[in-house]
Amino acid sequence: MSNFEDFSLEQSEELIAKLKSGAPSEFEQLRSTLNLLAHVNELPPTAIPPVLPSGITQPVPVLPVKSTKPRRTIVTSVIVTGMLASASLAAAAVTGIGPAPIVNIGHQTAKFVKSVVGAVSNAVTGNSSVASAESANPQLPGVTPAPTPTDNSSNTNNDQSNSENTPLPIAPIQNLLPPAATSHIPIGLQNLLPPAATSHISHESESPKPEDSPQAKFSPPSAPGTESDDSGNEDFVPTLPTSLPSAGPTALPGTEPSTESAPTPSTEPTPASTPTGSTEPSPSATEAPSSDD
Amino acid sequence: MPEKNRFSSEQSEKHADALVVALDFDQLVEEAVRGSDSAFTLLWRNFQPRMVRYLAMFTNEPEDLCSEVWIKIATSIKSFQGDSNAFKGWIYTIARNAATDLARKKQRSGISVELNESDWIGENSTMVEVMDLVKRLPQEYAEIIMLRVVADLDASEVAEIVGKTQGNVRVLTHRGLKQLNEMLVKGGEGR
Repeated sequence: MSNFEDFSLEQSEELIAKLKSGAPSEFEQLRSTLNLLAHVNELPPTAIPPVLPSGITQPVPVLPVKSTKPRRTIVTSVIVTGMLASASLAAAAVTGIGPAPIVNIGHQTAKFVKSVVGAVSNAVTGNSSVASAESANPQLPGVTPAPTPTDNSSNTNNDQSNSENTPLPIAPIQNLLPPAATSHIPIGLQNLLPPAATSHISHESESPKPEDSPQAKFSPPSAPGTESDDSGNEDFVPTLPTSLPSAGPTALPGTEPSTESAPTPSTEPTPASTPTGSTEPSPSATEAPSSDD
Repeated sequence: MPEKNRFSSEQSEKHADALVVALDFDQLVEEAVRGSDSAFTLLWRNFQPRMVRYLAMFTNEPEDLCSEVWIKIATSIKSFQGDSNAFKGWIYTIARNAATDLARKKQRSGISVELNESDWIGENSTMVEVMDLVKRLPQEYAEIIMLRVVADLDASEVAEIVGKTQGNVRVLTHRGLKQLNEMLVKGGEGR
């Protein structure tokens, strides 16, 4: 091998020229390497020659390409449209500004949503009435509940209370109470009474006996003095307690006997008809105590 | 020779074999330009192994890239004008542009696929060593040596492909060969 330090540009060109002719060179190792690199023309066995476009006689089937872009665009547009519509309806329902149909639809949608939410919440909470009753009488955990008037066995009105074992809401019955039943309690202390005290009274007034209830002996308040004195007692029809509360404030418990002081002589008042004498509650009769007798 | 386009496939094969024996590349190129499949196949058989080795300087999948190059050649060969030397320069220009495009795509995606060189070199271990030596050269030297030695192009044709002057191509060829010889000597001493 010659000295490669003296390898010139002309020698390199000569070496490449000798690769084609196959002539020996002084740089034999390099020449054989380049010759190997240049003259190996082995085709791989799997090589397939290309075909000119003119040689293609059969149409090439086009492979179907599934594109998800249109579907994605449709889904996105539907979602965006729905969001815009819901946002506009909500804004119209809240602000009340906008075209009337949209505002109306927004209000109706809001009402519908509220009703649905309420129904769902009721269905989820279950017995909401019991929960509300318990919330009216909050009790400490572990403490037995106080006996309700219906459960009170020591009550004197056992015949009435035991027949009503079903729990009754407290607040509606108290509303039915005439103020006269609690009028002996000073104002301001009524709120301090426990619910059992007022409920006890409420049961007495719930099914009043005609002779015990003072209200039944009185006429409706709208007719004191206005009723004709000569009106027949037979025409009187006892009123239901629904109209009693308005007569309470004028009738004091101590004045009840005064109604008996002026009976009509023509009729014998039956217990049911005793209030007929009270249809004429003259001031003198109410003011005249029985002590005058 | 317009009648040759109406040759049957058998007559065309016989005519192509006769051209291969004569190695008349000018006539082969002319026939391929006119639409002869057999002439085009003969050109492919002659240039395919060299082109694969040349493209191996740019990618680890030279056969796939070479197939794309031949598709481009087949679709645009009708517009080619020139002799066999011009045809060699033309097809290697197409191959170099394809390799450049592939390198640009891989650089964007960051994909690097390793391929066993025996897939396209074969069982020739000496060839593997030689290709390994050439790949160790700088890209500029290796490409010009491959074009001048493997593609059998002169300095003017290589200068036209790579966009350099003939003198510059000669200088780069000289530097590449000198460096390759140094590696061969050092490798022989190491053994």
